[in-house]
Amino acid sequence: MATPVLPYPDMDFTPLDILTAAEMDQMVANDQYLRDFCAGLADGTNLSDGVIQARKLTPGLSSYSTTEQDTGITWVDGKKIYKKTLSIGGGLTKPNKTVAHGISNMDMCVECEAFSVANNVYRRFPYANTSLSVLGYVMAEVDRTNVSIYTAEDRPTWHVFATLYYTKTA
Amino acid sequence: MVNQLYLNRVAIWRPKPKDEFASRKSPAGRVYFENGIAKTTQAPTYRYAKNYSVGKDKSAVKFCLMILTPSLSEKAIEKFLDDVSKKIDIALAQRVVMSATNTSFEYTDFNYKENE
Repeated sequence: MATPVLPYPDMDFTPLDILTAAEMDQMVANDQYLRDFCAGLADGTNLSDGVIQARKLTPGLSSYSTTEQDTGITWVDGKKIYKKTLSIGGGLTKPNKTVAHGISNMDMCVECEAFSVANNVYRRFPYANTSLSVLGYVMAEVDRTNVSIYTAEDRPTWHVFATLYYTKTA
Repeated sequence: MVNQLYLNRVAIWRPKPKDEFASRKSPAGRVYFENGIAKTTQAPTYRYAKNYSVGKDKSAVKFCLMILTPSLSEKAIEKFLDDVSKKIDIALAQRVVMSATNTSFEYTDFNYKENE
């Protein structure tokens, strides 16, 4: 955090004092400086980089949840971006597994972070297996009602999670 | 609201800019009140003030004690303020600090008497 430095640091006013006009001006200047400094704290201007711990940020940025969260971020059209994490579960079979995301009034999904965990192996989607003996791709698709995980091979042991970032119509 | 002035009576205010004990001279002619009657000082008066704190660690409240007096006994007045500071209740300090402005403060019941 920036350190406040009063323009007149030697001013030691108390209400029992009589001030000269010049001293009054100095006190006003000090007060104005402190007001500006506090305003800078409120709008973040006077905050140093890295001083805010992640857990002190809006929950939508600092944690994941299966309930809808406001991220505090806006899309290019000014709409709020919300966030929701889904546990899509296992039993992934071709051509896809589809689950309802349960989001009301979804306008546009601007990001989908989907991945699977199986036998302690993490796979981020879209996933492509480069082994010639296995036809492998897995990808996620989101519409206003569902999340669909498309796969070229049955992946019954993969447990899939997806975090959606989206705007809403209302 | 601007407070009426009383001589030799300790006042409590939010912490002043500098913590240390300090004094400031005022010329004669300041209006003060005694038994509800306005008077003017016939000689210079001196404002003495010092910052203190009550409570511990994060719950500590910092405040200022100040007094307007014709006395020049700096050492005695500083000791008197130090003694008074130990009797200030944290609730009083919190209330005063939160509500103080550049012109408003509160008087305590502590009065300085020379040669006491």
